[in-house]
Amino acid sequence: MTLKSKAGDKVFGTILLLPSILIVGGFIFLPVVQSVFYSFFNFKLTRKKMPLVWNNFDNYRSLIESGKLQNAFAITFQFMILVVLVVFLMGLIMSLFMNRGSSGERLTRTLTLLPWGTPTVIVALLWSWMFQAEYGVVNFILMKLHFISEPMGFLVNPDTALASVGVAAIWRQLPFMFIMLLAGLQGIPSEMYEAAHIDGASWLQSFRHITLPFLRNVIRSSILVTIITNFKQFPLFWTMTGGGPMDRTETLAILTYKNAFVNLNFGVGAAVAASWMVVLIAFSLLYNRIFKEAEY
Amino acid sequence: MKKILVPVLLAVMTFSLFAAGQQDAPAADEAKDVTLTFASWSVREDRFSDYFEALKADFEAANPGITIEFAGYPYGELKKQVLIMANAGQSPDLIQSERGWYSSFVDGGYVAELDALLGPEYLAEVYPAILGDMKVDGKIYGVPWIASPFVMFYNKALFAEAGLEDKAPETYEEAMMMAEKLSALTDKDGNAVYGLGQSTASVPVSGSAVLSMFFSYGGGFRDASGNIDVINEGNRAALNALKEMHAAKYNPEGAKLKDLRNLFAIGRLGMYFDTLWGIGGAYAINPDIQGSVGVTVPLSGAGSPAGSSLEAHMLLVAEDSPNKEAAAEFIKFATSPEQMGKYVDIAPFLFPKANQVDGNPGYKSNPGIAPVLGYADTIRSIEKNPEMENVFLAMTTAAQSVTVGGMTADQALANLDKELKTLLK
Repeated sequence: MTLKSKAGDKVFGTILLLPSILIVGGFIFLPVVQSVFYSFFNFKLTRKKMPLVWNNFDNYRSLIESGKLQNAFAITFQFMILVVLVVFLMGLIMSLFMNRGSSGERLTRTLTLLPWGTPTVIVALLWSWMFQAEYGVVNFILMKLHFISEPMGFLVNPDTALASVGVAAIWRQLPFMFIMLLAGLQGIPSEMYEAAHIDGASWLQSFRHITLPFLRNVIRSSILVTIITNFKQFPLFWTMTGGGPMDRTETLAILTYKNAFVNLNFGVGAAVAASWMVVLIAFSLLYNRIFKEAEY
Repeated sequence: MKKILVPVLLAVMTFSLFAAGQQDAPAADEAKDVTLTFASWSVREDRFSDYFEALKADFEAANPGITIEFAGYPYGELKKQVLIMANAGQSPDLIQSERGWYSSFVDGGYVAELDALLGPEYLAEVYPAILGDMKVDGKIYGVPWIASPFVMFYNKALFAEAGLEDKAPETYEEAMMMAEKLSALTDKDGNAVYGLGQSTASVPVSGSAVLSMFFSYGGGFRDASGNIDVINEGNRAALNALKEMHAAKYNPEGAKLKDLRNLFAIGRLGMYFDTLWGIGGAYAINPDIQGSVGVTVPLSGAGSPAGSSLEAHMLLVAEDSPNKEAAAEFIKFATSPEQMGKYVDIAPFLFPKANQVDGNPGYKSNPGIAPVLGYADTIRSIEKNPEMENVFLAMTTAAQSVTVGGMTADQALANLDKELKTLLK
């Protein structure tokens, strides 16, 4: 291949990529840059023609001084860690169990998928009713089983609200993790297990040295998707608790929404979103690095 | 060829101009016709559908050339949708607004000043306390369609069961004593009955209810000079009362208004605070309860005169509307005594104008309304600030802090003070 034809290929490739670059740049990169830009200005949604005024980091300062940003980060991370951990462990156990080829597998798999097909807002409303103190089924069952002596306001108690939203999130997201891991498990050649069995490997050794390494890529992507889903979780919180009680469920998504869409202060809303984006990027880089290192 | 083409082209152009002129002529006539778009959540409600159809027909018959087009949005979406449309240059002409959104619309410059459009004669009929609450820098940008303070509903049947007289309490102290007796009751399934319901959930309207309780105890969040004044005796007494209601289990934990309506409808709540139209939610669940519901004006607490913030569904005209005069005509028509008389037949609410009361003789004798007709005296005006929804949410946080959070009233007020100073700086 001559140098001229190589250069021609590059130009041709660039031309082919150009529409994608323009679309991604215009619809993803530009709004992100714009959002970061606005986070440094007094920018409210208004019909009045108002000049953008640089406010000397006041959007960030007010968020930090009020303690709202730190609280939202703490709540978001607590929620994310809780949900990801439980979803992963339960998803793994369920997929291992189902991979054994038990009877009624297809029916069980279909039923398990139902929560995943339910819109998140419906899930939020459903669980809000189930957790309701006076006529919710959760209280009814717990009282019948004598676990509690009187009804509990799970969503209005500062000690239980976050975990209660977490239960709804786990119920909604478990099928995704389960299906991904099951697909991964079914892709592992059975010969590997047969060879390990002949060599006298225990179940735990097979799991550690065959199952987990083969599932690594599936685990990496599924957990990353679950982390991002929960990091930006909004409808469950907004519908179930609105950020309360006492800001104990005020996540970064809720804080952004309240600032941007309740009191139309897009400058402060953008400041929350920008802080959140930086942390999420750093987190993703770290996460990928950890998994990459684990490969060697 | 050229000799033929030139005359043909000239003929075509002349015909086009003539045709265009013919099209323009009727357009000039049609310019007199106006279509008003009205963004509203009430028009989506089935129980009001006949009323709104009749309102449209009556108005269009009385105002030839003006057509009303309803744009229904879910309650929770309307504010956002209107703002999106306004910023896209497609603002509706008329907007139904919750009282709590009013400040955002005014502050953003989305709504038109109505003093001149409605005229002094119209505005003079609005109760002064309510008109005062609508003013922003002395100007009116919206008028109340229906109004209410946080009144108190009580269940007469439960009162009788608890051995209480069929008489509404006038003070919180009285209500607490009654709540003690009501809370000793159980329903037929053995479930506890709550004595006194006050909404404290994390939604702005609950914050408005909590602020009303502050007002009733002589509190508030601004002093006479306009400075933030949260740590005061009135607010402390109100929060201590809430704490007591929680500890004695008179009040369901962190309840939304709809939760209180549900409990009231099924006979598990003796008394509760709500807007007058809120009771419609309880009637929808259990129509049989209507005969045993009593209502009274906001209560006074610790010897202070009773007070409440105003809850209202308002009518606003968009600043970008090219048909402001026609929109103002619609407001006058929709709030005329005759139309309001038809509206109140469907759901209970309070008239914000004196002529609406005078024009509907049956209204004064309506047992669901008569006890609270003097409500306007209890209205405490609150500032028009785009942060008000967050201020209301901060009020709910204070209420939750002393109830489910276990804080003292002073701790909760210190936190509220810090938050309001940040929000309203």
